[in-house]
Amino acid sequence: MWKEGWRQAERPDASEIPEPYALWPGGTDRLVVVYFVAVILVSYLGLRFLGTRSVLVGGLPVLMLVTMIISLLFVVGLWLLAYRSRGGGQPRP
Amino acid sequence: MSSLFILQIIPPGLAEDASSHLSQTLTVLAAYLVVLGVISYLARSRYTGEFSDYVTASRSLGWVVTTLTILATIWSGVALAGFPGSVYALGAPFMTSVILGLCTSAPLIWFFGRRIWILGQEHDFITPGDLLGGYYQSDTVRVYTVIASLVFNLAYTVAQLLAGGILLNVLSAGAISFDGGMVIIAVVVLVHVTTTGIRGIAWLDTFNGTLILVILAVFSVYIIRSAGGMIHVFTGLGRLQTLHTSLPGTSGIFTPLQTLVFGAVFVSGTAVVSPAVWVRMYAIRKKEELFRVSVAFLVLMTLIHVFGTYFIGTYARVVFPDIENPDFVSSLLAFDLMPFGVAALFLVAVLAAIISTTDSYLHVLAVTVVRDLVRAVFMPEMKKARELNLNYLVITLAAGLSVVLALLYPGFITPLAVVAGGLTIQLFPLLFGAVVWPRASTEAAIIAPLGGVFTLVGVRLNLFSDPFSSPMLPGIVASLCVNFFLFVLISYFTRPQPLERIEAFHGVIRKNL
Repeated sequence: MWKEGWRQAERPDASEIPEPYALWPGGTDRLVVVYFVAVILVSYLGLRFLGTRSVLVGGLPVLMLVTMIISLLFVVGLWLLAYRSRGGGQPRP
Repeated sequence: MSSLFILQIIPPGLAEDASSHLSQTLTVLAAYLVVLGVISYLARSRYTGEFSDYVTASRSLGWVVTTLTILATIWSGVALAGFPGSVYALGAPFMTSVILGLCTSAPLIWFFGRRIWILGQEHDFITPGDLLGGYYQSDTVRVYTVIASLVFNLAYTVAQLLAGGILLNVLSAGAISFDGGMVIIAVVVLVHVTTTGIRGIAWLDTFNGTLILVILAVFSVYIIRSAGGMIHVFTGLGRLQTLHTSLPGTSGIFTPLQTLVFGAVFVSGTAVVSPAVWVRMYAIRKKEELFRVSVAFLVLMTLIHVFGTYFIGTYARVVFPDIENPDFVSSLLAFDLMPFGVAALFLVAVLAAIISTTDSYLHVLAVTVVRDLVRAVFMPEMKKARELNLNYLVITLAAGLSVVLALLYPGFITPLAVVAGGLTIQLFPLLFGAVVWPRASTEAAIIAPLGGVFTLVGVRLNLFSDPFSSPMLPGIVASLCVNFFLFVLISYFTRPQPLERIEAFHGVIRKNL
């Protein structure tokens, strides 16, 4: 039997959604989001200004080095996330 | 992430070489099959024969097994052979784009994975449809997940069988026909999955993933030794070095934005919302282990793509500057640089990747069809024992259908598989609404993906131009943008889910994070 339960459900106004479930995070979560956005921006700049150069550094093309550094920055971001989830950041309201 | 543009991954002439070293190739192949048999036997001894054990290994997978099973699942055999071919043709920017996609995938696996895991524990979810259909209270949404799973998994399974048929044909020096090779792989996978469940799949993936990592490491050592040092892998390109090692690459299509966006959208989409990866989020033992999974996944993938895939594709360009089909380069280079036995092992590693992708995709295809279509729509009171038996039946039918499609429509599968990846990505906004954004409405969840699919198909059929002009996969970015835009817009004009439903999802996530 096909079910579309949402059509019979009593659905609230959007203003009734509890505030803690807001999309934009608070506290150090916000810092982590800012960190990843910054890393993506740095990635773009790295590709734009270094990735277009055909230079070998330490035997590897600079584009590959930039790629590995970006990967490392993401790993650092993951550490920040893990630190935050273990309660390392400020407590939630 | 599978490369599906060309399925012919081995040059025909290699079969003659194999026939002159038949004892070596058969020994390597037999050794792999023995290991597969042992893993299957061991996993069988742990298999309880219960439904939850079949689908999620009783939610008991550790982080090492989970990492390697995700790696082996999304990294198909066609990709293992085909990605070096793409590097050969397009240069370093292709690899950079893929790795940047993996970079964005890793935090998304961590972010969404923990939320999926929590809801799986709380509500006993085992499929994407359980979560999305449950949150939006809609069988339409649930069936979207079934369609995405069916098209995606079937298309990719057929692609793997086609590549596997060629591979077995070459490894056996023609003793096993192309058609026979496909049937053998389908039967082996079928027996393994139905007798061991996802634990057997994950254990085999762990071995296969390790084999792939080791053989690529060995391959890169041979390349550096043959070139006379790492730097000569690149200087050997000569005049091509400038174009091959920097943006925008030899084809000129990889602008910095294109490189970033193609990788982020396509790789993240297929790595995070692919049904097979989604089910593995439910199967992991503890949500904290997803951090280790994300880090290990990113570190391993970065290293093997830079020092494995990238080196193979680049050095092949040095050794074989003019090759008719770039997808041959990895196998050609393997047999040119390495002893025959080691090169044969490389081909067996490709076969291992093919088996890992095939078993995972067939397993999740059957689970989603039975759970989210048969059980949810037609037989809601079905007992779990019957659901398990039905899974065995559906996976058998799916394997048979895959072989038939591979035999009858090999040329049709490649374009279908490319579109299938774009279809699956359309589930992303729905997942976002169910675990992050409580403002999301069911109307949005029903309409927005249709807008995305319409855009994707329209661009692919040249009904309208791609505003993002993404040459690698036309329409993917545009379709996801349309989908997200419609999803947010419609949600703002309609009402969200009932408060108790929001509490049962967003509230539970917040409490358990």
